[in-house]
Amino acid sequence: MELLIASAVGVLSAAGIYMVLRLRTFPVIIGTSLLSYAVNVFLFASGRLAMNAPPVLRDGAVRYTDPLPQALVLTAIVISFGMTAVVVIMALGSWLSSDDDLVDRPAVSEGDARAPSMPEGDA
Amino acid sequence: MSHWLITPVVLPAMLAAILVLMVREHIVVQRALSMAGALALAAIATGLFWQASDGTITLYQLGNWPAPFGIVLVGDRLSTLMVLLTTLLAPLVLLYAIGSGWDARGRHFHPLFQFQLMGILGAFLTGDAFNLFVFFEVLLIASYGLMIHSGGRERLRAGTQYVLYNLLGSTLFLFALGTIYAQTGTLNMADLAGRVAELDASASGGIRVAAVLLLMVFAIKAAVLPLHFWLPDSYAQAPAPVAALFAIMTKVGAYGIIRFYTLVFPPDLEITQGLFDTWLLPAALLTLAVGMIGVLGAVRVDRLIAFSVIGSMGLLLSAVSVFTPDGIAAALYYAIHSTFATAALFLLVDQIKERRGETGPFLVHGRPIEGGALIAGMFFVAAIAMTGLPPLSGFLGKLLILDAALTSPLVWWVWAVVLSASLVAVVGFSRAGSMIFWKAHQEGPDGPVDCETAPEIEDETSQPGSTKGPISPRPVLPMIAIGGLIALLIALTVFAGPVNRVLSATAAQLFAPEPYIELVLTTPGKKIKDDPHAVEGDHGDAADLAIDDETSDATGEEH
Amino acid sequence: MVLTVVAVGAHAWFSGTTGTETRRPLLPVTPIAVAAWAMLIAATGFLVAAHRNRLAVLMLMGIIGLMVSVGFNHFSAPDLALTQISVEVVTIILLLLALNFLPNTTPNESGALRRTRDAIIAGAGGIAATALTWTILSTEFPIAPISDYHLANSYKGGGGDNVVNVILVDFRGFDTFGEIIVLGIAALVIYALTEALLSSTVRRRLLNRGYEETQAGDAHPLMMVVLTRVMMPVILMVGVYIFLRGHNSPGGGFVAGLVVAIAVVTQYMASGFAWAARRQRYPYHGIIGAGVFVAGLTGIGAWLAGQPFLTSAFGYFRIPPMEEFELATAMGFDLGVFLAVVGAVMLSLESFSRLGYRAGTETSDHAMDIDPSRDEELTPAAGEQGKVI
Repeated sequence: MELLIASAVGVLSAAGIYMVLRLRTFPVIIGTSLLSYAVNVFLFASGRLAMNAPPVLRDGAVRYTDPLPQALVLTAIVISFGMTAVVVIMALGSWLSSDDDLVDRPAVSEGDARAPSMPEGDA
Repeated sequence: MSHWLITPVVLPAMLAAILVLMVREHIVVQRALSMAGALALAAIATGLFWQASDGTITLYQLGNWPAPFGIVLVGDRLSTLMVLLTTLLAPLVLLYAIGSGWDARGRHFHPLFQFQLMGILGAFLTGDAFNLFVFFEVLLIASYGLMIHSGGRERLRAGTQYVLYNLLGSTLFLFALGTIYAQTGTLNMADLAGRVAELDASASGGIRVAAVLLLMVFAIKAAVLPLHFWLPDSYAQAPAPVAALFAIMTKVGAYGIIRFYTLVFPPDLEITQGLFDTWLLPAALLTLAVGMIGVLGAVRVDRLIAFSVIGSMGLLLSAVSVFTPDGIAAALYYAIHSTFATAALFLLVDQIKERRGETGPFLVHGRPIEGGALIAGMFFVAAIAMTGLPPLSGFLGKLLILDAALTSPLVWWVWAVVLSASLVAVVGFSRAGSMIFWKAHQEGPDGPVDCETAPEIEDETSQPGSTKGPISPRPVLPMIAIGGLIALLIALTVFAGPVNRVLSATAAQLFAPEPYIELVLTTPGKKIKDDPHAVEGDHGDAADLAIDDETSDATGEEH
Repeated sequence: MVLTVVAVGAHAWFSGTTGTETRRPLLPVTPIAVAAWAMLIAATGFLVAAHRNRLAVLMLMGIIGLMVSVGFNHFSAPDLALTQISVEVVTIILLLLALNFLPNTTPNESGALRRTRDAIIAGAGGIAATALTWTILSTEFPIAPISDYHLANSYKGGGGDNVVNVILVDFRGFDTFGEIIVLGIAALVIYALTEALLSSTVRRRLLNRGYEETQAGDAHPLMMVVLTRVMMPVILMVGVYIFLRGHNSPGGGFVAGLVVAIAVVTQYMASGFAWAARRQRYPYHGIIGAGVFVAGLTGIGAWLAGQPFLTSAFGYFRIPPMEEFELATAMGFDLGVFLAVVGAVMLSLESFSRLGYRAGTETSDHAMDIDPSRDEELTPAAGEQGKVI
């Protein structure tokens, strides 16, 4: 079971990174969303997994799962929602005013998320 | 219980809420309230700084929960110093924004400005790792808003890039926090320090990963090579007052590094041995070098300043990464200096851009600037400070850093890079300065500009007082704001002795974290009816009133 | 950047030592989990493969989000599942609105070499993430986590059974305070940018934009209008219910805020922007401001009792005809969260819609577009009437 979760986090992050590397606004936004799924699951997993032990106090319950990471993930979900909304409107604004949604500027500078040790710098 | 420690966070937040709720259509009221808030913050910050200046550490337990379980704010010398620095910068920047009319060019400037202040101040004060993340996000999202304030195509493009880059940084931050929680089961910084020290050194893999992931997060904020690509574009494109406020934001990254790697992962900690010292210093030096090369190669004066920010961060971090009290003290001195210097430069560049007309920020020969003498004078004072020429604070900061580096094994590298970078910076800045101010007046073939004399000449012409004349149609507030920043720089130079004593004490306090940890972990918090550590005793049996007994609580706290 | 992170992380890992951690017994694999996992992986795979078709991507994102929330629920995190799924709905609506202005496909311009290189980098990142997660999941906490305290004191000190909610509004209420501020700022930023865009040349371009596809003849279908209006009170009630039970069972101000916001959004979708906007009483700005303000005031209220910011108090009261119920100051805070969330979500969605709203279009004041008294000759215009929300 743990391996399933671990691999899910891995697959989500890999997909996220790949999409981010496409360097076009829409895939990059999708990529960051995928990454935020990955990191939410990861943060949740940092409290270890447990089934049928929700952290809601009940009489007679013997064990609860770790509630703290859940609270952290909740905060993180909300924050990443806000961030996504902002980046979407900014990308939209950028697209609407330029008709081009390339994230990195062609000649002037390196794009974001470009690993700097890359050998070739095709924009 | 004194509530002063939380006011730097709550005051701007509530003020911003009021601004949005009630007076969002009245720019004049907004300006007045916003300015009043910023000034009040500066006063409070001075008070807090004063309080901490004898070495006392104050603690504020939010929700009255004891330390590792709830969130705490901690005001020690370092936090209050950074808070003071921010709140000194804020009113001046605000003054400039109001004077130059930047704040009226889009919606919601003042609420966003206050939220931004709240984020920065909260990040400096908090004693909890996850809370630090939350404040990072607050300051980031407010900075996105300020960055794209009033729109514009280039700005939006640079802004999108900046936001996406920071989104990745936030994701990394969460990965780091998850790893930390998984390895130690806590999030409070003081508690972390204790637990990390307790960890079994033979199973160090996890915590080492956590430590470097966290370092990477702060390195992104501090724009350390190779994670610096977001900076030049976003700073150059941001509206000037915002860029000036951003001068403090890279310092938040540096603050994170200083805080975490003296408190939680101190340099002599066995479990993280050989992680940071090996590559942080070279990376910092490379950052310095790249920044200064950028200064030399920049074709626009705003990008030139942005690159000099990178360079100054490199210099700052190379002092930090020596990880000795001297190094930290020097870094702090340089941090204060470079905050004011970059802020002043960004504001000046905005004035230059506006007055040069069509040539704008490009480093080409253009028409002379009206009221140029005053601007030129201030530009050269700020540039001298930034490049570290005597007699201003930049020079002193650099000396301190060079001195602190003497204990490092890489001392020759540090000296060589720092000195040659200074030389390059001087060339870069004097090229820009002469291009903008000098050659505009005397067209014609110029020989290679003597980098020493060019500033001096302009400096002298600007000294005679009656320079205010030609700029009388211009609003005078921006000039006061820039003048204030430069005055602060000069004050920093004049009072270098006392300032340095305070900073040494700050660094000494950082390297003796025991009182900090003890205060945070042993202060009792909320008194819970039963034994606070009893497990699940009387759940379901709560017919009687369970309101906190305030009187008993208060007495419990007094002792 | 990814490479740097992975390389440094790997360096840190391999220069450290491992081996003495206590292993943790693994949970058994259940078929449901495998099915969900397979769907998640498949959806992610398809998403990457088909990422140039933007609409498909959004649908696949929906599946992934759903699977993640099912996963949260499976592993004892009902609160998370609830939040994840409501956030998912709002996010998808938001992306759909944005997609309205973007072309349907992403051009393919990266060559095979570049894609291979990216795939290798992504693979390295994925493997690193897997390894890290696996390491964490398969070992116990070296030191007991602080959350035992939260479990023990949630009821006695915070007055709630739902420990996650008590952590959010009480133990770590300050985080939540920051979080609603983030959300509020996000909405303000979106609003400010929309204003800036609408006042620039962009507006003219938007108005001149032709429809690429044929419009549905009936922009606000009768079924949908009727259904959403009947559903509205029900959804609102569910929202209030979720809000009230939050302290003791899964739920709380945030989810409730999202549910209510979704209820209102459906009105926009079904009945059109103009119709809904005319019936809106309070500006969303005000709601956000009020939310932050209420939350802050609740915190400051504790000062009056000589307590630090956000200190909570709670008590049990009985009003004769009802059962005993609990009042906690944390509920005031939760109310602030609720207001801020409703305001922020609505302001963002509204701003997006305003981009698409055409000033020139005739606004229908009828409750529905389909008005039997109008005759068929209007049909071609009916498409125009549909406001792109």
